[in-house]
This record gives sequence, C-alpha cells and structure tokens, in this order.
Amino acid sequence: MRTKAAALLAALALLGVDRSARAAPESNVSLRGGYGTVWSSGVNYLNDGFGASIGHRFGLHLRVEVVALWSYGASVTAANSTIAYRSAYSSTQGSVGVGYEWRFGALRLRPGARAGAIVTDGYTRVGTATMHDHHWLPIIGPSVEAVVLVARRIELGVVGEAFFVPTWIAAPAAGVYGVAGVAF
Amino acid sequence: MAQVDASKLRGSPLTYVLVALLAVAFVSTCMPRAETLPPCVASTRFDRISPPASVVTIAAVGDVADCSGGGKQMEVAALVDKLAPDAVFALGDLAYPDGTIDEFLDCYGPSLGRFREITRPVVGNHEYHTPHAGGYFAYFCGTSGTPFQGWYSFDIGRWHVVALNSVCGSDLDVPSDVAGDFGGCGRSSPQIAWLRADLEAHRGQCTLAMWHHPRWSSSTEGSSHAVDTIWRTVTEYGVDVVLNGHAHDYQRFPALDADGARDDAHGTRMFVVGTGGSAFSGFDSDHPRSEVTDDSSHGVLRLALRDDSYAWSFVPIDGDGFHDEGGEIPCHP
Repeated sequence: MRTKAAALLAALALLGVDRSARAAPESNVSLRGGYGTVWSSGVNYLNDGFGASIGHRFGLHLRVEVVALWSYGASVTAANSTIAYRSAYSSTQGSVGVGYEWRFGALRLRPGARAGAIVTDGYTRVGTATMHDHHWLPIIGPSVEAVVLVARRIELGVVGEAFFVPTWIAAPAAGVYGVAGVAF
Repeated sequence: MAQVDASKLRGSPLTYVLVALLAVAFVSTCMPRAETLPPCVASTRFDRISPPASVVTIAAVGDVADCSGGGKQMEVAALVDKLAPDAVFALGDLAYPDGTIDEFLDCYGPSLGRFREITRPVVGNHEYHTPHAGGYFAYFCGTSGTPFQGWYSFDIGRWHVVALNSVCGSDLDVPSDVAGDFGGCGRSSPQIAWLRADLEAHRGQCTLAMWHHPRWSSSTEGSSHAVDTIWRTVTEYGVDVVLNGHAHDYQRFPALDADGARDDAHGTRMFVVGTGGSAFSGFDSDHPRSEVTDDSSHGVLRLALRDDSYAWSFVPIDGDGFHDEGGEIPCHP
C-alpha cells in the first residue's frame, strides 16, 4: 500500500514538473546504434546494431514510433583437421511503439511499449552439412528513451529496450542504443 | 524551448573517450570467435573391447556440465575415471545452459569430455539452444550420427545400441520448429522408419536404446508424450533397456509395455539418469510404476552388459550416499 502511494506521488510529481502537456504536436527522426543481447540462446543474434526510428508526439504526451534495427549478430568457427563448424546469425527487427513523453527542461523521457517482429537470418555448418535459417518471430516488450535537446532541434540520448518472443518463452532480449535525431 | 548548448560537447575529452570506447566495443563484439576443436580420434569401433568381450561395462549419465557454476561434473568425471568403463553413454543436456561450442570445450571438455573417445552421446533440448545443436554435432565429430539428425546405432560387445533424437518440438526452451531439423518423432518420420528398420535387422540381439526425454517420469518435468511413438516402437521390438536423462534425478522403472503397464516377460526396463552434475530438479509425485527414485546423489549408472543378460548399479560420487543395483536380468529371447 505504501509502495503504491509512493508510486502515485512520484507520477504526480513528474506530471507537475512537465509543463509541456499542451505542447504542439512534434515529430522526430533519429538514428540509433548500440548493443543488444539475448539470454537463453546459444547465439546472440543481436549484438551490435544500427537502425532508425520515426516518432510523433500528439498533444497530451501520447507518442507513437516506428523502429527498424539491423543487428550484426554473432558468428563462431571451430575446427580441427577433420571437421569444421561455423555458425553465423544476424537479425533485423521492425516494431511499432506506443508511449508517453515527458519533458523536463531539455530532457525528454519516453517510456513505452512496442510490438513487432524480428527476423533472424543465418546458417550453421558442421562438416559438409549446412542448415540455413530465416525465421520470423513476433516480439513484444518495453522501452525507455531519454534524449536531450541540443541546438534547438537535435536530439541526443539513449534508449533501453527489452523484448521477448511470446512463442519461445525462454528468449528474453535487451539492448541499449545511442540515439541521435532531429525534432521537427 | 529548453535545450543544451551543443558547443559544450564539441572537443570535450569526455566525448573523445566515449567515442573511443564505443569503437573498441563495436570491433570486439563483431569479431568472429574462432575455436580449436579437439582431434576427432573417436572411431566407430570400441578398440578397448575388440574382439568383443563377454562383458562390457558402460557408464551412463546425462545432464552434465553446468557452465554457470556449482555443477558436480568434475566429481562425476572422477567417478567415471575410477570405474574405467568400456564406454560412456552421454544422455543429453551435456553442456549447460546453451550447448554452445564454448560450453562444450570449456565445461564439458574438462569433465566427461575426457572420455570423448569412448563416448556415445544423444542430443538434449539444451543443445538446441544453439541453432541446430551445432556445437554438439561439431564437438562429437560425427560419432553422434549424421549432423542435424542425431540418430545412429552401433554394436558393443554382443549388444546392439540405438541412439535417438527426442527433441521432438515439445520443449518450451527451444523453437517449436526444431524437430524440422530431423523430421521429428512422428509415426511416419524418417527417424522412426530408420529405427524400425534398424531394430528389425537386429532381432534376437540384446538391445539398448537411449534418448534424452523419458516417456515415463516422476520428476517435475513430467512424462514426455512427445516420445510416445519412440517408446511404442522400442517396446514393440522388445528392446531390453532404455536410458534417458532430462529429469535431474535418478529413476528406475520395471519392464513396461507400450502403455506403461508392467510387463516382466516382454517389457522394456527404463532408467532416468540425469545425475551428471547439474542441480537436482525434484519430484512431483511418484509415477505409479516407479521402482526407485532419488534426487540426493550425483553419479552414474554402471551397466554390465553380458552376452545375454545385464546388471546395473547406480554409483554415487564421493560424499553422496544413494546406491541402487540389480540383475542379472536375461535379455528377451
């Protein structure tokens, strides 16, 4: 009960600090780059990743965003004089996010949730046998972006996001990406 | 509109340090990892028991090396060393948590990997955390069946042994389409067709079958319905002994028929030996046919395979106290 009350007070405080509730609608385009990792999978199909996003803030804080991200993934080789093993996987993800935007001076805080799909692509080779993969997996998860406004329209910041694959319960993933964009 | 003065960021030492760190991180995480596999010295024969001896000893165990720490795989390996078996049957989930090639080399390798030359493995669900169980198939150099299939058979002493792939798509920790790698476990699957042909060709011989998921189990993981066709096939052909892992405990069942009812005359005796080093998973409720259960001791099942009979004993690692033994049980005529 005490925790709930504290959370409510904190939320009210945040709303009170943010004076942009009736700010004009605004859009932004940004590039992102950073690192992600996958748990409970032998291959990190995220790893270093680069992408872009387009977002739009409606009045009263509500915000929508479309994100595309390509991740380098990982590759491993192992061999002896008899047999060679090679495995390489990368991924591409696309998602739509819905969230909130608070403004505290130059800082913009954007918590939200997103849903979409990730496509993993790669192959595994053992000796002369090869398996190619091209999987579509649905993803869903939360994200938090924090950017500061620099030089009137430039946004610089960081976004942290996590997702899991509902059809594969033990596949949580998370990433942290630097963000640079333009607000207009 | 509130904003930060961009000129303060330009030329700041902190900015340069940050950029340098990011560059190093990018390059290091993108570099492909290259490992060296141990030599493929395992042969299709068991040289130590050639010509076939009148009795061969097997150390069977699954659910072995835990790379996240706390596993008892080194103690289990020391026990196997002491038992000096003719062969090791590794019952799947050999390198936790993900069966990567690194986990096989770094965790399984120093433990049961010391017996790799005489090991005949089956693949478990954790091996499939790595796509197509690639680390497993590479580590065992083709002694574990054609890569990506995972079923094979061989003779040891007077016994015929079949090793099967039971990752049939019912595990929640691997993608549901994983069984597509080898055609699954259905009645018309290539594996079952091969199994029927193989068992047909070895009728009249003492036979042992091994795979990872137990058809019957008292443990929290429960009995695996996904391997029902495999179980029905081996009981139909009168396989004498089945070895499984998956449940992190030891379980012994009497000879059972296709439906799991006791059948001393024609049934198949089943052991679950998931005691290779990983943490115990505990029991749910005892299966009505279960004869013995234990989740207090790591160790291995030592099988003595004679010309026309077998005996077993569960041997614990030093410090653990559970023991189970039985036999001689004649093979099915």
